[in-house]
Amino acid sequence: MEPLVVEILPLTRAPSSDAGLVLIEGATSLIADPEAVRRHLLTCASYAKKYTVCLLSGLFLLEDALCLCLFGPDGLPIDRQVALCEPMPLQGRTQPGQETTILDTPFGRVFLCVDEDIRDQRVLRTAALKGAGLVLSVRMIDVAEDTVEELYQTAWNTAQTQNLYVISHSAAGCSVCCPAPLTRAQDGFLVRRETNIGRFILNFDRLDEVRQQLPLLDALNTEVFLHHQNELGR
Amino acid sequence: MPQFALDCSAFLVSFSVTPKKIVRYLEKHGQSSRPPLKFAAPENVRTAAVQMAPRPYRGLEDYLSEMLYFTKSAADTGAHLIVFPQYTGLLPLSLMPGCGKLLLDVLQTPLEDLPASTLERFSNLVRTAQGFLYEIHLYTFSTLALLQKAYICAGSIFVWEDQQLYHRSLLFSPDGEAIHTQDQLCPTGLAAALGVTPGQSAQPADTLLGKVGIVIGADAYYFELFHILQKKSAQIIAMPLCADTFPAGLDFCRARQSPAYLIESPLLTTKYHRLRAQILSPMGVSAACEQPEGAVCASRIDLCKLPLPAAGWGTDPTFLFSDYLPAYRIYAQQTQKEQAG
Repeated sequence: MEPLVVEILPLTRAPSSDAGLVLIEGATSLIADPEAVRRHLLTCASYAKKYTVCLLSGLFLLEDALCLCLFGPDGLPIDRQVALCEPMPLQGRTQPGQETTILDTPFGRVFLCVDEDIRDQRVLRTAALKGAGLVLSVRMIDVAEDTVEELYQTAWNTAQTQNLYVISHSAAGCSVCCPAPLTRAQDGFLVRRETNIGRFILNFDRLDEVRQQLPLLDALNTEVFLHHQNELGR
Repeated sequence: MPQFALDCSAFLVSFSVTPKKIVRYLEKHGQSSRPPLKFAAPENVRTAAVQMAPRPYRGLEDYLSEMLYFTKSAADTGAHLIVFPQYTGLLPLSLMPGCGKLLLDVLQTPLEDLPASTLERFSNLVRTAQGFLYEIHLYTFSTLALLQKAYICAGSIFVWEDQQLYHRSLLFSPDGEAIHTQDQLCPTGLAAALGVTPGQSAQPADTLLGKVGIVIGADAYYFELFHILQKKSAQIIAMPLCADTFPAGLDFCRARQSPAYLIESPLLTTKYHRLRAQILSPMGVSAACEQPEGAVCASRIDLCKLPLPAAGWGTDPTFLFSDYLPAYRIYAQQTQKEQAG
């Protein structure tokens, strides 16, 4: 598979010609007003179509659900994901989703991780078992709470536990986490948010090599985990 | 080494290494004046983690003196629970003539660099020596636990049972009884290469310190085990490890999410190993060894200070039972189909 070029840009700037996926710079706060949501989604659609790239939307409220949406190069939404964990500020105002949707994209299978979903490894495990190789996480977390330690507990933890790429996008910046053997420093960080890098490349062939050396999903003891489903479901 | 020679070597060693000799040596050198462990207040539980490097032993007494040294060092700190590293049960293989080098090669060489012939020889060795290995392991650590009046998680050992190979950890009580076993549930690396059969359940042990769980080696990658143990009220998790089992920081993620105290005990097998013996809490590192050689690190832990577990982070229960849990079954079925195809 071709390496995926990812760029983080404002919607007023065109991507590079080789970009395959664009994340919107600064789009980490919630769009709640229905009219604003409509305009945002239309803007995303037209950007994706104009530049033939995949584009990840910002967080928005639609039909009482907190969502993320990925637009394809044709400008049409590939699918949306509804938050499975209700964030505290929105408790009672939204309906949580009931399943993980894995998106088939030109660069493989992707899971859109909405806000607090990144904190529950059961959500990410479901995505990994369904074949996701990349998780796109957008959080509207307060900057004061969005510490390095929080990043380790969420995006970095996910990358090591589920053996996949995680792009974590929040007001504090964008980080890219991956299985530690993929990085020269063996630290599991492809991009640290302090570096403010707006462009990076994900190599899925290398990810496959690492997964062959460390086949975490293949070694999963599904029998035992299903035997303990009462504990896992709490 | 031809199989016949291996069989002879194991037979000879089984004569020179007997339970009586083990108990006699340890009773002579390992008596302790500690009072029997009757109770440990939850705010004053003392734990210790051993880190050591494998080496060829000159004889039974050399091996026993090293195990006794680490146990006594830990007990002298007041430890109620002492954790030994992964593969501790394999170390007596070096007592068999000609087998010490093979053991060190297997433990110290990355799996991808190990020739298949070496792995096969090692597998034969483990199968041939299973009887005396288990006997040494059982008698050594049960006697040490009894003499030093502490719980001992004796690392791990390969055990043949009903024609299946298991990677098992035993927990010994201060009475010298093996009160709990935990098999590795998701064998990877060396265990998978040797054909280890996955364990069947994850249960913590009932002890005077509370419930103690055991997570062996790379099982630490699987958050599910920690989640299950936490739901079964385990507040202390013994982790026998080997070298760089997982990336630095993943253990802290587990300690925070569980939440539990992790007693990490690594076997130092590579020159540039990063792992050290340490005792980890959800709040940070309680104690850690600094030097890269054989040592013990000990710490008092306060079970009352463990934070309450985050109640599922608000994840919708319908998702958990209709999408998350069935995903395991569906994945297993798909994998079986692919393998059959």
